[in-house]
Amino acid sequence: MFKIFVLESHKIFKKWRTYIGFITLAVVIPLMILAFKLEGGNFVNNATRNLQRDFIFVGNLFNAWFIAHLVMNSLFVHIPFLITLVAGDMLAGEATAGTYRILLSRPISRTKILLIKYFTIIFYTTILVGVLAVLSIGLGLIFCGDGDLLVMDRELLILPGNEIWWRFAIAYIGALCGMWVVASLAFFFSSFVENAIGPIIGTMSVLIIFLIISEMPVEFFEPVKPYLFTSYFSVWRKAFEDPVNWNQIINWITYLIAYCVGLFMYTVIYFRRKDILS
Amino acid sequence: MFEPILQTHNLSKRFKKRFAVSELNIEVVRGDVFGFLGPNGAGKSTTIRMLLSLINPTSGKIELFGKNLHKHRSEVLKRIGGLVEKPDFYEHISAYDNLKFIGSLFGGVPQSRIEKILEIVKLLDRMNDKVKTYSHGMKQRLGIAQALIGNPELIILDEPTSGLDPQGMKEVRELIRTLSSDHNITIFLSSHLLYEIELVSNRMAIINNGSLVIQGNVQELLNSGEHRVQIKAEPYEKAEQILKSLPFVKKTENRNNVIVVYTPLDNIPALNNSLVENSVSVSAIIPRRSLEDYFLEMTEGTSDV
Repeated sequence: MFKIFVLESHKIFKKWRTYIGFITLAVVIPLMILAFKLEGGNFVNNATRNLQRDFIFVGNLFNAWFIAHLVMNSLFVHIPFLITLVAGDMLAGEATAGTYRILLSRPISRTKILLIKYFTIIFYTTILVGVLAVLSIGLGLIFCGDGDLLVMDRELLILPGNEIWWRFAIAYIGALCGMWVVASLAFFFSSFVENAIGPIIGTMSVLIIFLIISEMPVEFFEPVKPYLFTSYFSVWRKAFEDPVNWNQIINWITYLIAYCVGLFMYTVIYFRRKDILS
Repeated sequence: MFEPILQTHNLSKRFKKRFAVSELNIEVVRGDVFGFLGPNGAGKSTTIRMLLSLINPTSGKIELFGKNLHKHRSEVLKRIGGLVEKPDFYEHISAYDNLKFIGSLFGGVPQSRIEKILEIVKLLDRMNDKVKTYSHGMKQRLGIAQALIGNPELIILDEPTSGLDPQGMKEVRELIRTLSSDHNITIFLSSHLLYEIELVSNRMAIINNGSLVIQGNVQELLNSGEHRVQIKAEPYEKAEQILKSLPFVKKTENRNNVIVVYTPLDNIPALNNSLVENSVSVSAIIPRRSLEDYFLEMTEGTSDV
């Protein structure tokens, strides 16, 4: 199965659309770093103006970690679109190309084929989030240096440099789980149709609707929110709280993984009975 | 000796209210080049998709190599190669990579096997080119190559000459003959091209509106019933009169001074005797019964070929 996974990965990494996500990150992140670099000093000064009356800030607060945190904040709404471009094409693309016929008439079960394809898209998503991490932290370290992390969320928080690595590691793991759910949803939609556009639009529509409901502070939606995966998307932010609520992080990550498993199982149940007419 | 390797038992497929295939019973014997003939929309592709496990039957059973396809799917599909309709591939990778990927679904195929297959289909020199650069004929040959990748005992080909020019059609037909004779592969060949079945198949089934019309040996089926017999004779009018008077000749037609009569094959010697005894000079008697005539008879003119 590993050999087929390697060949499946080879297949998707030979496609132009696979690189759209990487190219986008390679363009946007340096641009953001450049913009922050040009305006960054003012940005941090404005944010800490009130505190500067009572405290003296020592060291470089406008650093790689601050930028990586900002990049995550800014891009985590947009990254799902890049993921759906590839995930939505995983099965629907086979239907469009007519290659279901050569793929599914072989002595390998549909469940195995789905499993291989699912792992491939999970692998792609992991690489994409990995590239996001490496580019934002790496370029940040090169151009803006190291230091403590200034977190501007509901309150201003300065996290010491020796805690930053593990906090970012947990943040990226949490964010990655959220993106796996997006990939799983696009993969699920992809099994129904013969064109990748439907799954891409479908996934983004669900994501936008769920995000709006999750973020809307309205009593009416409160009973629904625990069932929406988007309610757990901000798990990565929990890594930058002090003290860290480990139970909540573990629970939220578990929920997100449960969504992945559930969506994959639904895909298997449907796909095993699907008639291939393309 | 006549080992059945493909059998369908009351095989049916219904899409909503319409039966695409209904109560189909066919049998393919090892060594056959089995022609599966029917007009467009007759249910050929649906049947083939069921044989290759792409579509689930509504009812009925498929046995391949004596085993139920549904229960022994992987085991059975290991021994089969298939090409369904258009030869579609991953166009952005090479023919070699396509075959390597397909081979991995069989548990892996060595490079030498892939190269040997590409040599059989005459694509070895283009194996590293992306499939999107291939002509339709080359893709069709690659389609047959991918059907061969698992070293199959049975190959199911759905309209393999579709869209090819005459030279390409000839090449594919020759390839089918070679696979059958030199590699001992049983071929299940669907087509709506009647002469194609006539040229390459030894046994055939005709399907129309999802139901089996008839199956059997191609030559036996062609030799049964009435034949169209073309006769060139002088004097023409006298010959025509004599032929019309014969009790076993049902109908005569005049086509550019060639008399066409419809009669069973067994009556031709008597027909010749009658003409000669009446001093008619016979220069040619050509019994003709093409599969097309037969097919149209069987499908009552519903064919669109």
